[in-house]
Amino acid sequence: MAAPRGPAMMMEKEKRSRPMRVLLRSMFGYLGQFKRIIFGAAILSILATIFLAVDPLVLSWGIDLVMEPGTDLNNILILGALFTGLKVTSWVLASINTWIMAGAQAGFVRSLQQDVYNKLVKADLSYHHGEQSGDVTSRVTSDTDSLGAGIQIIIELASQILLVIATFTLMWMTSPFVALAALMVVPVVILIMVIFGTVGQRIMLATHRAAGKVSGQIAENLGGVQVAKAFNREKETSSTLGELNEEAYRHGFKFMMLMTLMQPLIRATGIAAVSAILFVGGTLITGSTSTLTLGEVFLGTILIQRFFMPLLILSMNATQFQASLASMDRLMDVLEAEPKVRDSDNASPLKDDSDGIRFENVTFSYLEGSEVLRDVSFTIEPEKMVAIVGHTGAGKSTVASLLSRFYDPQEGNVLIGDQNIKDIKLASLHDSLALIAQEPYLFDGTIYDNIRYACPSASNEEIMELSKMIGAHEFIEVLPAGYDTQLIEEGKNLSAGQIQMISIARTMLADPKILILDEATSRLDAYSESLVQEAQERLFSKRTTIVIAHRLSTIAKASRILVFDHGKLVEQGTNEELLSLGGRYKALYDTYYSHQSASEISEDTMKVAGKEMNKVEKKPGMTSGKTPGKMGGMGSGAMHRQGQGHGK
Amino acid sequence: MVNVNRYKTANDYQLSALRRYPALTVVAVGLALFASLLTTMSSWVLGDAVDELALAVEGDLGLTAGFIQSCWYILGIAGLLFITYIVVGYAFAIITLRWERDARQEFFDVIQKNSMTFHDQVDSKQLLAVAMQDIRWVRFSLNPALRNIIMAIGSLIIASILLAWIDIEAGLFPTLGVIVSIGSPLYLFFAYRYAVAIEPVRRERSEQNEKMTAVSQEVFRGIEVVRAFGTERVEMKKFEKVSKEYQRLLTKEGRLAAFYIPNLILTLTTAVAFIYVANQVMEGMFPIGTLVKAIALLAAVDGFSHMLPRFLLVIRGGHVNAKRIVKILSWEDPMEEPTNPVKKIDWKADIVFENVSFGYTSSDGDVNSYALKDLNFKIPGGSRVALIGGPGGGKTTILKLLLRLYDPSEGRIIIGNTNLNKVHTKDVRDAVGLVEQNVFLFRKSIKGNIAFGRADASDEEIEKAAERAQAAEFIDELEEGYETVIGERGMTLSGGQRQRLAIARTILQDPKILLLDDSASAIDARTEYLLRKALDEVMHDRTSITVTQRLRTLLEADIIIIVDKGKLVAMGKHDELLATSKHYQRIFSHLPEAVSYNSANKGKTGTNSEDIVNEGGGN
Repeated sequence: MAAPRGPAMMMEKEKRSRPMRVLLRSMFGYLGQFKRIIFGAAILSILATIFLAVDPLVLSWGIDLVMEPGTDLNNILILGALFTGLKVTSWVLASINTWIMAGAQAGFVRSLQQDVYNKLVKADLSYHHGEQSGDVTSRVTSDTDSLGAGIQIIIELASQILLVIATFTLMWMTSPFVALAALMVVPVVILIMVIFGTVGQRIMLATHRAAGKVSGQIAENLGGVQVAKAFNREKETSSTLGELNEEAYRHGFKFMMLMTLMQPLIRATGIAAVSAILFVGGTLITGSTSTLTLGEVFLGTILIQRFFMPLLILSMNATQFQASLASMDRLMDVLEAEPKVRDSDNASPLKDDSDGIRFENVTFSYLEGSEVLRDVSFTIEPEKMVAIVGHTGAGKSTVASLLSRFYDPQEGNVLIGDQNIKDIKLASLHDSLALIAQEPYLFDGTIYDNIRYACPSASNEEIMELSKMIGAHEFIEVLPAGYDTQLIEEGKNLSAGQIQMISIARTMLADPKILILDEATSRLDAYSESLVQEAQERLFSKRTTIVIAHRLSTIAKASRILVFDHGKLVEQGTNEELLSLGGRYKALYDTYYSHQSASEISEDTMKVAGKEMNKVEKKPGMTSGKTPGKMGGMGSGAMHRQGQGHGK
Repeated sequence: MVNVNRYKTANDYQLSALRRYPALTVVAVGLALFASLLTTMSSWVLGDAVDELALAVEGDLGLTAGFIQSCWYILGIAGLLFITYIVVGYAFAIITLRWERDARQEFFDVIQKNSMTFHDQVDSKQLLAVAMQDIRWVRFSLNPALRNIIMAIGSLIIASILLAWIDIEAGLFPTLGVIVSIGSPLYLFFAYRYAVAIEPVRRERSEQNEKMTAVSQEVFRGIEVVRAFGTERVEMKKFEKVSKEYQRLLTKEGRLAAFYIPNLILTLTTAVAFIYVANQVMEGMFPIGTLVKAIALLAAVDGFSHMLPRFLLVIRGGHVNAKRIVKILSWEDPMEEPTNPVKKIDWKADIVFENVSFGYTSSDGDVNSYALKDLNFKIPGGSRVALIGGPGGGKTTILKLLLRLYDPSEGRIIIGNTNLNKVHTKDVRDAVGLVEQNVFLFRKSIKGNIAFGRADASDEEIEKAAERAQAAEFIDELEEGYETVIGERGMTLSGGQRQRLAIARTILQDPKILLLDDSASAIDARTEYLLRKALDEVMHDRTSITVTQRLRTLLEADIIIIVDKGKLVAMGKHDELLATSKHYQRIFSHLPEAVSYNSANKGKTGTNSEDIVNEGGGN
């Protein structure tokens, strides 16, 4: 007896956006190279079913034969051999089918996974930003699996339907009355289907939701475990979970009882049907005009099971099949979507002499109707460093995203040199241009792996050297396993500053021609930041660079500053020019960059501080050359601030 | 506290549900066996009915009372089976689902209690998976797996006994008994062998599935990095590798199910039994109904045929899950609660670090390097301390040790003559408040988040704390004010807003020692200025340690402590350090505000309050 399919019940019913016909066609279309194999497997499966369908017949002949006086034992032996032969043949055919299908299904699922994955890796970022990463992942993993199950079902479908028809025909041939009596199981099958489709579905969804809440609560509690400890709130978090857990239990109990109800319903119906067939058969056989034999009555009691079970399986599979279609629907969304950002037909690599950046009347919005950049035009000369400043939401990061061609602007053009970036091959663009994002992302893996990400050929020594230069070496060294420390959960054991440092090292190692730093050093302490800047100066001084920053120390060194406000470029110029302009920049400057409370500090302290500052600045060499690894870098950092940086 | 694990072995764990309700378990198992008996009995009665029918046909008696009675018996069995089954299911549901609920709670409570050393080592995604899936699979192993296996094996045994009884009843040598007692063990043996063979493959496959999920999830989370570096091809290759391995395992698992030998054994047993009984019937030893009984009994066993290995597999799998759970539950915490905790501590007294060393434990359980090394300093009670140093210098570690999230590996932390590890963590954390660097907010209302440390706080107190933390202004601007529920992981607020909420949370907690870990880094200058003034009040008459890079905090600190590579570099007041410490001079020279001193000398800088945005974040 086949137990009801678990997974089938787990799927939520969803509205599909495509008609079943389209989905089925594309499902078959996707079978691709596996079409023949799967067709062969289906034939085997049908053959196996045919052999399976007739074996009870042999047993019933046996009974009748035994009843006939004077039957030779040899006849019985022949029937025994026939029964065994049929069963074994069916077993072998079914096994070959299983064997073939296992390979074909896995192959099919894999090729689909890869297609979907590749498509998603290249999908527009707007797609990824609109979806939870977990949902995207389930496209690759569970939806493809569910589709694989769908293919299996289609193959089973043929043999189950065949089994139902063959069995019913056999029964009809035995006696139409027996066949009609067998139909009593049909209402039960319908009842089960209805229960599952209505109450069952509801209970199941509620159970899932309740379990999801428990899971979410545990995830959150684990994320905030340090806070719970720091505030002595373990008891409370535990009891919050307890309540959700209790709720999940109540729903789970209902679901379990529903499932528990199914099994006895099926079993009891099977046995009751035997009783019914027996009664009908008995009535017929004892009747005056009976042509029915005892063997045939027995045949009826076996056939009723063979009729009932495939019907049940078919009804259960229907749910799973619905789920597979829904998966196909979702997968088609992915597979049919053409990324908007892709290489145009006449795309060419970025030319070596293309440098400098130009925005020409660029207008861009993530969502229609709310423009993030409005008619922005500016030019950045090759090899210059330009800073972009502005409040949250001014559109600074969007400039970086457009330049990286994560999106295409709705209006206007972005150019590198004279090449419109829409006509530059994406691979070549990303080889030449690197962005250190505001919220750096580290992969699970070692520190080495992460820094080496964009430059797999870099040696450990090179990585270490670079890390030393930007001042990351010191903290990496003291991690539990140094550079080989495995990062988990996007580097949860590192401070935000440390994560930034690693992402900076990663980008510097990639050695891009154009560099964009989007608040790349915002979480570093001032001193570390100066080391990074110094390294940047050394390695990237002659490259086009955009810095988005809120620190004066960064902005001050830019050759020009672009001030953004509500998506518009409102001012540009050097620090001094903009300050004397007394506009937007000046206001920003006073809010973020200047030491606002200088007046709060006593005059004396100010003087001392100022004096000491001058002293420090006048003696740049005092620390350099002592211990090259540590002090040397620091000393040169101080020097650099005066524009005397060395090592370029 | 060293965790005293209740479960010694995985078996203990897996069976703990049954142990919890011994009486109910006995009843449930008894009834399950009764259900098996009913199932097989229906085949037996069918045979009797056929005998009645044969007699009736032979004697042309029409429908005999005996035959009709048999039909009723079978119907009765169906009804009784229905009820028994439901009772069994209900009992098992109570036993196992309650266990699952409580086991999950227990698991969470235990890991939550574990010190931060544990949480640093173990991926929380993995813990979540264990709490949800592994515990569920252990439950699956009892219900439905164990429940069904009891019924399946029960049916097999009862069917075997009944078959043997056929001969014995007729006073013959129990040939059928011999046939089934050869067939059944072989059948079970091959079913078990299949389960054993497939189990590691299935486990490997599900691990590979996890790996595949991890690979793709990671790429989609870091899609911008992938895009920015143009590494799509590398990532596709990476995925190809894991998915090909998945394909291999999936194929292997599927193929193991082909040529399932127990079915063959059952077929042979049925054929042999058929020939034997048919021959005996022809010899006149048995009535015809016996042949029906034999076939029907074996057909009933056939019904369980595919179920058996599947559930065997779940039981074995549940054992592996139980092992994993027990391993986590029996993690030994290096941090112990004191046996005789000191209750009276003068939290306003001096804080002394005495030769303190500390190393984080890596995921393989080793301490390979030290975050703090032989650290010595003394902070006079009530002073304001500024803590500075490069990344990885040990600043955050010092704060975490003061909160007793960890104990030092060596050395002591003494507050008012009491070694901190002699104080119960609960008391330490009541007295010490930390505003952490990466603010974590819960998915609850702003009110709930601020009152996180003090659930009994009144609305007024909460609003006052928010005001002091300079958070009231932006909270009032929110549509639902203090009732606004913060999105997942607090992502809907800017960095500066979150920091201010965290500060409000700690202000409300009213700790005796206040620790601020770079808590104002994302707050704009004006807000920070207001915040400082508010914190002035809070810090009055209590010891505070602030990790900072703000010049003003340094200037106003009673003591500045500089740490680097886990060691103390220098400590003292700003003026002293500026005069004596090269390290401090260097840091000072790089402070952004220090640079602005120069600008301040050049031109007048004022605050244009009209243009100040209240939202923090600096971006």
